[in-house]
Formats: sequence, structure tokens, C-alpha cells
Amino acid sequence: MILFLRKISDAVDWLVTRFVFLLIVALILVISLQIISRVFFSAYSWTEELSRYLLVWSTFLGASMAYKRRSHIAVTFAVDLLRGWTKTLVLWIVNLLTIAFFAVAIYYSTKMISLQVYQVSPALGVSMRFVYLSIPLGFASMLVHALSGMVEELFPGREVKS
Amino acid sequence: MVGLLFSTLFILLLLGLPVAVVIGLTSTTVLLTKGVNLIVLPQRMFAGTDTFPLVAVPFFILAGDLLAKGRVSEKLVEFAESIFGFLRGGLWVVSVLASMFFAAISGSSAATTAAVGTPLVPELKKKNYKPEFSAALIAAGGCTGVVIPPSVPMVLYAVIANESVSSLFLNGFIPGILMGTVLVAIALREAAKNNYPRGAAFSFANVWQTFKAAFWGLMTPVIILGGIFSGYFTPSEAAVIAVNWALFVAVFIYKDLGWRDVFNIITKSTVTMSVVMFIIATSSVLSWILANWQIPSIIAKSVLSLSQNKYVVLLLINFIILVAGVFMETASALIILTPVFLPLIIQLDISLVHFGVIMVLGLAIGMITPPVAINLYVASTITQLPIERISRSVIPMVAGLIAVLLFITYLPLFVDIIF
Repeated sequence: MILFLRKISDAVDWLVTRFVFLLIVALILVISLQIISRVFFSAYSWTEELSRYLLVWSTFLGASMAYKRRSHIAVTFAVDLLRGWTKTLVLWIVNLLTIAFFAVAIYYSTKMISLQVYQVSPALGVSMRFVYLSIPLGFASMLVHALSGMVEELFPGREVKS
Repeated sequence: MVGLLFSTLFILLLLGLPVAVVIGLTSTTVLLTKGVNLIVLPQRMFAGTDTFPLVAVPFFILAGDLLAKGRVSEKLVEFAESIFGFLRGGLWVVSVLASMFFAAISGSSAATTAAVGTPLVPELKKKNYKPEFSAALIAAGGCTGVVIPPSVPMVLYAVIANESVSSLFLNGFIPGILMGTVLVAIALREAAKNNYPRGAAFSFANVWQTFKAAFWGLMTPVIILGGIFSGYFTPSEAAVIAVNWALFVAVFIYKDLGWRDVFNIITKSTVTMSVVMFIIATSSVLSWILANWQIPSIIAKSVLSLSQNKYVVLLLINFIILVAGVFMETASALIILTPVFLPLIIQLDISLVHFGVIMVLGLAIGMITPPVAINLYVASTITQLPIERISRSVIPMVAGLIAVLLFITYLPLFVDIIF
């Protein structure tokens, strides 16, 4: 079970990392195009919109990369003072609350998408569903990492051999 | 309502949850108790990140990371050394000036500390400079990273306060130079006290030689800041130009980065920026709540009932900012505190740009005050010295920077500096 979760979490991260890399490269290209087109020709109307959407996508997927790498900022000096069962208890609470938040975010962002049937973006004319999709996807991969991380953190006796 | 919000926020923070999740959970709790449809959650998270000025955030981080990894910072240090190396304690002066210069390239303080520390530390060691003082100075010099433009926290503040990024950037120069001056003064005094030897004599030939080698790095701030202040590029565009330039310099001029390195650096800075952007996302739910129930105005009223004097209120705010900086990381403290303080600042008729500079400078000092002190951790990693030893040496520098903070807080109220 632990190994299985870990494998899924690693696979998701492998995929997300490469995808976000492409998003960032695309973002660099789009804005470079925006500058070149404005300076030498006339400005395109869609570059700014596209770059905002690329930023949104990289934010939510990138947040899952940060979660996987345990890079999210937290105030840990109080928890670091704890030892023994109090520490385990706090870790349980922290993990469960985090997972609860991710679940809520996935549920309501999916609901938001299902409500946005007709809305299209002003310049590109793409359905906003494709833009909003980044939110549940980002939270879903964070949920996977959180579950795998929680199991590993709270059952250290059954450490995964890799 | 106010009590519920702040107690939830505080308890969750202390439990050690990620700051973005803390803010999200607090918002969810408040929305649930008020019976608001939770669909606001994804809606606000989307709206909070869907803004063009924020595009500058990933790219000012990326440009700094690309140039810090390459040989650019090494060349900059050599150039600064050719000018100031002859002074007593010259290498310390060099480390502050190189930090200030790198600050004009990078938008983050940790990157500045790493960029300057990595090439300088071995040399400082070789010349027998006091190691913990050197480490403290490099960490403190790193604080200029977010004050001298470009600056990621200034972009964040500008987006939250709805101010222009360029005018915040423009007002970062004087405070940044003052910080550098104070640090140089502290370093020179320490060097004189210990009777440090002078470095190699000043020679124009040497300056010219190192200038030529550092030219590509030296051009970076010219391009970024020149582009922004001439109005030719928006800050977001300038950030992307900086990335293109950094890639060009690292891959084609100095040839010290392969494509594999570029992939790794992009991945690393994506993680760094997502941490900030994720906090922006969840905190825009919180800002919506704050605005909807006019909580900042309630806070403003209760503060103003204590004192209506803007000098007193600013002193109080500075104190809160400094304390927040001790326990919290810069971006998260800025994102949480800014919307809370804004109505108060507007009522007191203080310029929002001025306040932004105070906020960023105050929180920058927090980067060298433990326990949460990113620059000290970076400096400690580079020098292999324990945090405790560096912390003791950093005390006079913290005091000096606080003096600059107070100066920048009060002086513009009497004299128009820029704004």
C-alpha cells in the first residue's frame, strides 16, 4: 500500500514536472512574442490573456511540485519543540486538515467547471473550462502527494525500501 | 467574526501547516460559518492568480537563479574587488556592493545571498576574514535583494495594493543604497578595529580588465531597469527579457550551463514561485472575506481610537512588521498583512507606494532575524557555520537596517524624496 501510493505520487510528479516545464517555456515564448510584435508590428490581443492562463496553470500544478518537494512555507518552530505522542498527534491533525482542504478545493473547483458551460475567454475564445481545469488537477496531485506523504510520515516503521 | 478568523489563522499557523493551506482552511471555516457557497473558493483562487503583473514573479526568480548558477556573479565580484579591494576590509565592502548589484538583477534575497556568497566565501576564508562576520554580512547584504529593484515582494505588494509596480521599483533605490551604505560602514568599522590588511593596490588596468569580463552581467540591470523606467516594457515583460538575456549569457557567452542545467534551474524556480503564487491564490479568498465584512476598516478604527497620529501608528506598524518578519517568511507575511493595513494607511493619508517600501524593507530585515531567516540559512549552508554563531554577528547589522527603516519611514513625511 505504502509502496503503491509512493509510486503513484512519483509518477504524477514526473509527469507534472515535465508538463510545467513546457508551460514555463511556452510562457517565455508567448511574452517574448508579445514584446517583439508590439515593438516591430502591432500588438496581438491574445498574448496577454494566454500568458495569464499559462501562469494560472503553472501556479496550481507547480504548487503540487512544491508539495512533493516539501517546499511549502510553514511556521514550524512551535511544532519542532514537540516530542513523542504530542508530535504524532499534531502530525495527524496537520495531515488530515491538509487533505480535507485539498478535497474541498477539488470538489468545489470541479463544481465550478461543471457550472461554466458557455463561458469563453474574451480574446482566445477558448472555453473557460480548460483554464479552470488547472485548479482541480493541481489539487488532485497535491492530494496524492499528501496521502503518500502522510502514510510515510505516520508509519515510519514500515519505511519503503527503494 | 474577527476573533474566529484570527484565532483560526493563528492556531493553524502554529500547528505548522503550510501557510497557503492555513489561509485556505481559515477562509473555508469563515465561509462555512457564514453560510457562503464554497464555490467562492475556486473562483477567488483563480481571480487572484489571473493577473498579468504577477507574470513577473516567476521570471524575476528564474533570471536570478540562472545568473546565480553561472559565472556572472563571480565576474561581478572580481569587478567590485578591482575597485574596492584596496580598502582595509575591502573584501567586505566588495561583498556588500556585489549584493547590491546582484539585487538589481535578481528579485529575491535568497538568490542574492547565494549568488554573492558562493564565489566570495572561499576568498574571504583564504584572506583570513572573520568567518562569522563575513557570513552575517553576506546574509545582511542579501536583504537589499528585495529592496533594490527588481523585487518579487514589491510586485506582490503592487498587485495587492493596486499600485504601479514601476513606481514601487523606482522608490526602492534610495532605501537600498542606504542599506548598503550602513552595512559598508559597519564592515569598515569592524575591519579597522581588527586592523585588517589592505588588498591589492588600485589599478585602472585591472578595473578595465575585470569590467570587460563582467560586462555581460553588468548589462543585465541596465536592460531590465532601463526597459521598465523608460516605459518601453512592463515589469512582466522586462522579467521575461531578463530570462532571455540570462539564458543567452549563460549558454552562449560563458557556456557554463547545459540544457540539462537549464531544465533543473527552471524546475527549481518554478517550485519557488509556486510557493508564493499558491499563497497568493488562497489568500485572495481571505482578502475577499476581509473586504466583504470590512474587517480591515474595523481594525483601522480600533487602531485609530488608540492614536490618530500617523507617526505613532507607523511606529506601531513597523513594530508589527518586524515581529512578523522574525516568525514568518517575507512573501507570506506581506500577503497576509498588506490588506489588513491598507485602509489604515489610506485613512492616515500616507502614500501607498511609501508604505509599500516600508513594508518590503521591514520584512526584508526579517530575513536575517531567526528563527525564520532565509538569508542566514543560505549563508550558513555556504559557509558551513552554525546559525547561532552567524546570528550573534548579525545583531549590529539588524540594528543598522532598523535605523534605515525608521529613517525611510519618517523622512518622506517631511521631505518629498520621490514617490
